[in-house]
Amino acid sequence: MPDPAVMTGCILAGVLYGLLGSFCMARNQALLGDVISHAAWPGLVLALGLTGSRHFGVLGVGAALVGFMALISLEYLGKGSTRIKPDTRLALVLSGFFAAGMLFTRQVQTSRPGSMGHLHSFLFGQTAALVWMDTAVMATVLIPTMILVWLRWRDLSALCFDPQWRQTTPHANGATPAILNGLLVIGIVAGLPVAGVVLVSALLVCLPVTARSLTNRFSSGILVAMGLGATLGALSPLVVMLTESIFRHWRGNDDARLPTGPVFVLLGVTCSGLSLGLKNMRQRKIQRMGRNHASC
Amino acid sequence: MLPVEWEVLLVACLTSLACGLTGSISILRRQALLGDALGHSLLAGIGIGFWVLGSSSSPWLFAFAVTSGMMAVGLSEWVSRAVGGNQSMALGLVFPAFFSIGVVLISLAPKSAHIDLDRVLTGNMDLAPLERLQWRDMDLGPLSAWTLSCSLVLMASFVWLFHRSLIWHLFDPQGAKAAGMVLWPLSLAWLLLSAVTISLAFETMGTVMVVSLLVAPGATAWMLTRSINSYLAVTCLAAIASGLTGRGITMFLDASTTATTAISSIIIFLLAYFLAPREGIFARWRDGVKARREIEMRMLLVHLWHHELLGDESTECSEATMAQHLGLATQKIRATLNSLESRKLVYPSDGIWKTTQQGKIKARDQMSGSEASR
Repeated sequence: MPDPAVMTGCILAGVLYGLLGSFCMARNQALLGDVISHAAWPGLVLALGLTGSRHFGVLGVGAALVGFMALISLEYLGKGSTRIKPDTRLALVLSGFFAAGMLFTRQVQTSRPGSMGHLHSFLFGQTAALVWMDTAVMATVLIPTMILVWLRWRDLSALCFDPQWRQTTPHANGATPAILNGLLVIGIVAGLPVAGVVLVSALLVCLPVTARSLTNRFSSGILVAMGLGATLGALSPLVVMLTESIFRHWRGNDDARLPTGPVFVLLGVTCSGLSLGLKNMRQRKIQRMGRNHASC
Repeated sequence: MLPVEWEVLLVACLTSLACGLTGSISILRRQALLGDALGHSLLAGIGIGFWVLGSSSSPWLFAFAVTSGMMAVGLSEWVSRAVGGNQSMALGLVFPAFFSIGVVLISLAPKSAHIDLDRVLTGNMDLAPLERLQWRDMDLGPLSAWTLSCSLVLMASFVWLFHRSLIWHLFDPQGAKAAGMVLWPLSLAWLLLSAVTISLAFETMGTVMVVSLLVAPGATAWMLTRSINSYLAVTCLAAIASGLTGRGITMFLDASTTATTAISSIIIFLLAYFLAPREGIFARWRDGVKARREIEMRMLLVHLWHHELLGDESTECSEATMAQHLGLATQKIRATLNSLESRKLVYPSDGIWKTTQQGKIKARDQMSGSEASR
């Protein structure tokens, strides 16, 4: 069995991404998570270079700060000029922030030798490096997020599905979109030790897509996405362990190391592919029945 | 033979030129993130190719990479059609899946494989001169320079040959379809060429930073130009400039050429974004200020003329009363009157302001113009 810290961490990350991803998908911002997670990389590098700390609590603050900067620059690029289209904006911010992080890696490598290897576990996610500290960070992010979503449920769902209508209601709070974006950034950063910088966006998409094709209500969709995230999160370290041990016996190479992020993503994408296929089949069946009925 | 620094510079310029040209067309197709997606999905092909071929240096690996990129694009088109046109969702599902397959396959490979996952993501242009092209014991320079120039020539000749139909296809797809043009061979050829370019550039640039070289030169040109030919020309110039500045930054800063090239392309874009003569942020701000000042001047001129007609200019046309009645600061009124005076439309006479003959004509034109438009 994997370490309990690893299991708890993966489950918490799954729940977190199911929750946040549902809001992302409902607001049609499927690729926003991609941008924020790539922008978190320079934050991690800078935090490591400035503090020399290896605690995720410290590194995560840097990552979240730079994530906010990416979000702000994305909004500013959109407001400043209408000539730059949304997809170009996303691509520019994503690669620009990542490149800015790579600019400093060599300096950090020379000033703090040996510490960059620790950061590499954040690229794809590595359960071997997961400790109770990381899990605690995830829990401290997840619990307030859930409470906030519970308290502001009506406003948040109005923001997702009918922002114009929301503006006309007396209870519309100007801070709600900012709060949602803030939760998104902090949540994405908190799950990085499990999912890794590159593959976070896939988790933010595949969990809600699966949930959406299984349910008809937003609230139950969120619960399904969170549950699915927890299940797949618990499964992925098991799959990683199993595959690694099989490879050790079968091919006899002891250094087969599998990162968790890709395994988690492959499980999730398989689920969403299956559920989308099922939904399509059901729709076709209904259409066929309708046609038969009409021809009678 | 060139020294190593110059070879790196050559590779940087060629990479950014090839990527910039490819990306400029993807911007016009509103698919700027396709480069990111393609770059990530190549990894599945590399992983599979490694397990099938058993080596990480075979040239066939390249064919595997291109094929998997094309397959991922096709699959994501199919998925987005199946779920009802949500393209970003399809991109977000298909490409990470391909990337994950690649990461899993490569990490399970034995250590002797020498495919470094970090290098896949971050690239390393400084190592480009290590792989040489040799012909009969003759050293012909870095291999990536040759392959990138080949892809550049292919892309440029593609744009050159299919110039007309490409423009039609990009700006008026419905019209092209209605005229009986068959679009898919053009799309497929373009996709194949971009997959080839990205998989060649990916060893030097990595999967993430290649995106800035793909998008930033095109976006720079998009801010600066208004016709397709000048757009392509400025894209190429911006790409070469980012290669040169990128290499230049590494002389002062201890950083990889990959990162500096990517960041300098972004810096060049930001310069264009703020300073572009017509569309830049500062130009638009300046135009706004100018337009506001013009309106204030016209309003004040009409005000003076109106009160002269009514005959109460002695009480209404002093600076203090105008400031009070129009709700503007006295300094603002004075500045506006001064600029009107410099155009010889008004003149001061014992404490009040009067319109000149020219000013009267202008004010009347203003009013009749606005009445006519009403």
